[in-house]
Parts: sequence; structure tokens; C-alpha cells
Amino acid sequence: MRYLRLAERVFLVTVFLSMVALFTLNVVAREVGGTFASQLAWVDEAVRLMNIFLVFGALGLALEKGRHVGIDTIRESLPHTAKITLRKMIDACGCIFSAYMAYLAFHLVLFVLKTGQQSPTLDLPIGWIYMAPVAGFALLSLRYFLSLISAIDRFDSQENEEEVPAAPGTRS
Amino acid sequence: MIFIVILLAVVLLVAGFEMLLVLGIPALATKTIFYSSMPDLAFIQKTLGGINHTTLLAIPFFIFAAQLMGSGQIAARLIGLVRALVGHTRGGMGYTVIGGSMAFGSVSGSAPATVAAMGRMVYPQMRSVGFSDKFSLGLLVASAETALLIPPSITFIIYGWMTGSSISRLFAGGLAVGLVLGLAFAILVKIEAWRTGVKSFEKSTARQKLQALLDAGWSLGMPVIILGGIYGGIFTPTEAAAVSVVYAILIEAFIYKSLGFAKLVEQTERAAISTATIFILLAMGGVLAFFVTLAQIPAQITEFLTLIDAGPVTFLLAVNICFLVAGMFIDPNSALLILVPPLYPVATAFGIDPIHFGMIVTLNIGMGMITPPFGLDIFVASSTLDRPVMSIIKGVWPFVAANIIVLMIITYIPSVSLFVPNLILGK
Repeated sequence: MRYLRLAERVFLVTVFLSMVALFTLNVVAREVGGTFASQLAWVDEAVRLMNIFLVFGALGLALEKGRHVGIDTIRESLPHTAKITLRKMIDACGCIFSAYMAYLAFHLVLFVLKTGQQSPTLDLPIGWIYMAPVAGFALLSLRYFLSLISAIDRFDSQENEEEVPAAPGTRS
Repeated sequence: MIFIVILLAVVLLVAGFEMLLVLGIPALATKTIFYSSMPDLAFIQKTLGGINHTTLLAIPFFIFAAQLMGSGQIAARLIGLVRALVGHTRGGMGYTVIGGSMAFGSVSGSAPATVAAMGRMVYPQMRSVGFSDKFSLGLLVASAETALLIPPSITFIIYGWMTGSSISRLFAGGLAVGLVLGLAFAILVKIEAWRTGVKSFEKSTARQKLQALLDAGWSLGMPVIILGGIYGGIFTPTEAAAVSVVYAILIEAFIYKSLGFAKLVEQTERAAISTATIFILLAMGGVLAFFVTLAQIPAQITEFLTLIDAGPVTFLLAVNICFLVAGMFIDPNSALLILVPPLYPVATAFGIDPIHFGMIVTLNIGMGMITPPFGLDIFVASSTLDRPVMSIIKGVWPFVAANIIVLMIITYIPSVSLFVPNLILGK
């Protein structure tokens, strides 16, 4: 698990920083002008592709860290046994749903690869793009499963959001 | 039949399922039960097809920039400047909350984060100059609502993507509506300060003001890049977002020296996770919107409205109620994803301007977030400021009332929303 987590983090940070760098480079190239800019026509498509992998790549970690959006006020105010039962039910449903989505996505990869469709500027086989939901939903399903068997605690040990430093010159 | 699906979604929502399941499971159920002849693979294709869009790239970039500014110095210095400029007048701490929330909200784009940040920075001082506990809490919670309106706003990017409206126009309209709302709150502060005899905060000299301006210096480049870049015709909103990330990294790392490599990695990961939590909702919501269109729900609504002889005025009132209720219970993005697909086509059929409709919708969702007894921001404020929910609810009522007045103005006088976009970008 430790290695999986490390791999996910390295992947996310690398992809995100590259997206920023590529997209900015594209803007700068256009402002400078010249033929260089037209050679960068693939950047837009590449960054969109990377964004999709970024999004799906972070699904699992987001669940583990309790960052997915949900309205839990009612659930968390239930008596202990009911609360725990409900949490386990959510884990089970989430695990099955995301596993099924990963399964569907995998079939879509195979299906689209067979058609041999290519992407407009990168000339990649388009089927590969659907590997993002395959991996993402698989990682999500894994986290739901680990939470179901209580191997991870995604409910009570949530991270504290947003650390905010004091303004310079605040007299408090 | 459609009611079974809605009922399922409501049960999942109340039981505290993650929003991605609240949208995803009913969508999958709809497909399996009502559209079984459609290939299963189309379901995945719909989830991905929607989010593979250049406009939407503005979201990860703006989130990233906000994460860097909020955890570093830029946001704090902008708030410091607002405070030096207006903090010393009678009731000035109140204006600082409004102006600071706009500054911080505009960079963070998140109302809860704004409540937390502003609360920690100015709540003690509001109390010390004599504002009552409930008024201070109410103002903090209500002011954070401007985060949804002041550009760059994630809510508007999503609305623009769903309806195909111009993000630049939505941002310009949001700026105007956000300022009107801020003005309404400022009037309340003025009345409260006069009524209860709030003291003024220590005087800030011209020298201190200049110092705050110098402190803010580089931070001010941020709004210049984003707004100046977009309206000067240099960048698209997505490009402005990417450039603002690079600017934030450079300023925080080399000028303020508050960003090292380890922190950059940490903030990148946080931003990536925030991005994922929004995009998975967009992906699931995209499928839901597809089924809404397929089931011809907008046409049925229009038909029903014609049947009962309702005009645009009645329709907009109904829209206000729908979004307000939705805003009370669910997060802004999900509220958009669920309600815009069935209602937007009806609005255009009535000849309502898409930008104007966007303002109504967003203002409503923001208002839902602060409306007792369920408004989400009330609970966020309660936990981050460690104050009982009841005192926040007591304090927030005058602001909800002011909000309703602003909402009515925005709803029935379209030019308030459209004046600025038309002025900057032409008709």
C-alpha cells in the first residue's frame, strides 16, 4: 500500500506540474509568435489528456483522505451502531459500483482499440484514453474495499483543510 | 418512473453517500432500467466525453493557483491591504470582512475556505471593536458567499461549460453581482455600527497605508493577470489560469520565499485531489444531463408551464425556489449539475439571457449555503470557528434578508447582470 500511495503521488505531482508548464509554454510561444507556436499545436490535446489521467489518478487518494464531497451531517449524528452499519453499506456500494465502472471502461478500451481510431494531433490510438477510468475506478474500488474491511480509516481521521497563515501586519 | 430514480438519489444523499455515488448510481440505474437497448459502453463514453474539454482546464489551474496563494502569502497580503484601506473607519472591521472575503474568495473560489480564513484573521478584532457575537458570525458566513461570484469562479466555469456561454462574460457579470451583494452587506454593517455605537479601530496613517500597498505589491499582479489578461484580449480564461499558477509559484518561491520544493509538492498533490473531486462530479453529472435531455424533461416542463399559463416571471420565481432549496442541501457544483440541464432550455425558451440566468442560479446557490437551518456554510463556520450553530443562525438572518432583496433585483432587472459584460465585451 505504501508503495502504491507513493506511486500515485509522484504520478499526480509530475503530471500536474507538466500540464502547467506545457500550457504556459504554449501561451508564451504564441505571444512571441513565429513558426515555433504552430509546432506546439499538440499541446492543447496533450494537456487535456493529462488532465483526464490526473483526475482519475487522484480518485483513490481522494477517498482515502476523506476529500470526496458528500452530505454526512445526518449520518454522523446517528447512534453508533447505525452509523457504522451505514458506513459499511456505503463502502460496499461504492466498491461494487466503481469495480463495475472499471470493468465497463476496460471493455471500452478493447472495443475502441479494435476500431483503430486515432487522436487528431497526437496520433495516439484513442482507446488508450479509456485506460484512465479503468485505473481510476479500480483505485477507487480498492479504497472502498479497504475501508469496508477497516484496513484504512477514511471517516474519522480526515485531514484538516486549508492552513491559513496570519496576514503580515495583523495586530492580534 | 422518473420519480423512482429521484427517490433513489434522495435516499443516497440523505444517507451520506459520496456525491459521485449519489449522481452515478441513479444514472446507471436509469440506463439499465429505461434505456437497456443502449450499449453499456456508452455510459463510460459519456462520463469521459463531457470532461475532455479545453474550457474545463481552467478549473485545475485556478484550483492550483488558489492552493498556492491561500497557503502562502499572496492572499494574506491582499487582505492586509483591504484592512489598511478601510479598517480604521467606524464599522471598518465589518467592511474589512466583506472586502477581504472578496479578495480571498476570488483567489480561493471556495466559500468554506473563505469562512475559515477570514474567521481566524478578523473575528477577534470585530469583537474587540464592539460588534456583537451574532452579527460578526453572520457577516463572516454571508460575506464568504461572494467567493462564488467574484472571478475567477469555478461555479461560473462549470455553468459556462454546461450551457456553452462565454466564461469571460460570466466573470464580468459575476463581478457586478458580487459587488452589489457586497454593497448590500456594507449597508447592514453601516446600520449596525451606527445602531450599537461600534468603536472605530486604531487609525492607520498614510504611511501605514503605503506600507500595506507595498507589502501587497506583487500580490496585486494576480488580479491584473487574470482580469487584465482576459479582458485585454491577451488570454482565454484557461490560459490566464495556467499563467496565474506560474506567477503564484514564482512570487511565493522567489519573492516571498514561502514556498520550497517540499511544500510545492504537497500543494500540488492537494490541488490534484481537489480537482479530481470536482471532475468526477462533472463526469457523473454529464451522464445524468444526457438522460435528462433524452427523457425530454425540459420540453415537459415548458409544456406544463404553458398549460398553467405561467410567464417568465413565475418561471424565474420557481427557479429561485428550486436552486435555493438545492443550495441548502448540496454543494454548489452538484446543484448546478442536477438543475441546469432540465431548467436551462426552458429559460432560453422564455428568452432569458444565458448570462443573466447564470447570475440568478449562482446567487441562489450561494444564498442556499447560508440559509438556516441547513445551509452548509453555517456548519462549516460552526466547526472552524468553534461557535454553536444556534448563534450563527441568529446572526445570519439579516444577511439572508438582504440577500433576498439583492436576488429580486438581479432576477427582475436583467441589466444589473448584463451591464458590465456588455460594457467590456460589447453586445
